[in-house]
Amino acid sequence: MLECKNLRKTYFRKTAVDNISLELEEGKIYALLGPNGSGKTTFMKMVAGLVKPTQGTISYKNQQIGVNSKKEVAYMSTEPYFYNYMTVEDVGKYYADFFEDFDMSAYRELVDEMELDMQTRVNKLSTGMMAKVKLAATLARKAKLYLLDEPLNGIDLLTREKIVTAILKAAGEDCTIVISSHLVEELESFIDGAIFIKNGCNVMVGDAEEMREIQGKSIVDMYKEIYA
Amino acid sequence: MLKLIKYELRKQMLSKVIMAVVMVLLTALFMFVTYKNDHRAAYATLAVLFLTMVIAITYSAIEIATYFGKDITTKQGYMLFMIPYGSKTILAAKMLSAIVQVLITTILFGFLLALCVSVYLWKNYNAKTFFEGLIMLLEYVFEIDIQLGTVINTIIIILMFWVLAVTLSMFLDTVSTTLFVNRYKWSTIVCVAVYFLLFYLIIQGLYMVESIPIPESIFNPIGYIYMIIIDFALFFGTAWLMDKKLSI
Repeated sequence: MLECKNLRKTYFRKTAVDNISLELEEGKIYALLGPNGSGKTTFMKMVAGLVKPTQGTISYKNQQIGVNSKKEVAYMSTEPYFYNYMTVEDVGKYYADFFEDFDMSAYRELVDEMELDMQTRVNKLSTGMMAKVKLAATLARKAKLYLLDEPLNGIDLLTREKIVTAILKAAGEDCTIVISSHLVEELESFIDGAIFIKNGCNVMVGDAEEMREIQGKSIVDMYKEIYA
Repeated sequence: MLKLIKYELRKQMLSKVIMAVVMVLLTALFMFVTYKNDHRAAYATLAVLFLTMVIAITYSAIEIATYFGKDITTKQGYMLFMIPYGSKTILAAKMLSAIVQVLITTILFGFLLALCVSVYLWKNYNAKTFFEGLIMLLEYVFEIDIQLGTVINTIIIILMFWVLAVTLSMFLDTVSTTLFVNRYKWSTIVCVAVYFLLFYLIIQGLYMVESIPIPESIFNPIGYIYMIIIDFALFFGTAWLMDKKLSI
């Protein structure tokens, strides 16, 4: 469903992504792995259409990234991005106004599950609470491709479980999920595929189970070996 | 598009409410000093009311440019560029919301000004009703040979220059962000200088096209056409840069 060829993004002298080529299949959960500054966020932003590649191509269902892909791709940024005047409820209304696949009742349910108040202003939320709102807004869409950038960042252990449950609930045969995280241990148990990114390049991409069999080690151990 | 306009207006609502409250308070003050027959204070209040409108319109343009800058350079821009709308639609919504804002400010001011002057005439020239005062005002305006066409023409020209100021700032903001981002620390200063230079050149161009002889008519349409072409060129230039180069 998603195909990237020789993807490159430079910001003047700095190279954020340097030659990423990969294909993602429908109905799978991928872990996008790599240390800080390896290019994970830039890659996700390019797929979401927020960053234009300097070189290379990205196609989603054989079409260039654009208005049509944005209808089906749900991106959750690691940084807060809601307008300051908004309440948690306003965020839901905004998504409902612009995304046809957004389900307000699912959003309310997720907000309840994450113990948030609909009337709280987003600029009053802590990092962890903000992450929950972003995740609730993203997962309340019935998207075909979810790009979750560090969804477990700043989240306590108990809430992490809730978030992982919510992600797994959103997963289905017709949707693909890409999760970037440093917390490899948290993802190891439920991912179908893994993408290892180092210095802006994908050093290893594939089926998680096959990787484990071929390498004879867990994804966590592979992570340690690649980035040591 | 309407939904986008709604959110654009919502983002800048607070400053508009503050300005409206200031204008209404000044009108109330005018009524009070008129009631007290303090003519000097009445004229001064009217002058301040006019000044407030000028500040409100100028501030609107600056605020629109500032919010646009935020949208294309900060994470807040994800809210706009993540949604399934093209750059032209997003830009058009911003432009329309900008025009709506200036129109609301002008209409509110026009209404309050007419109200103030009518009340003043009613109080001091013994007009029997508010509407009689309004008619006296209109008669007074026409007696000093101000034609309705001239008034409308002036409003259109002010609006066109205001739209030009906004489109030009959006264009140069996009140029600065897409072509010079992270390259030159002085790109903002250069863009501000280029802004004034381009504005000056566009006005010089307007003088040139308006000097083209045309058959006698109520107004010279060439100036309008020239301004519309410039605005559209800046609009499509900005949208193209956003489509091809903008990374948030």
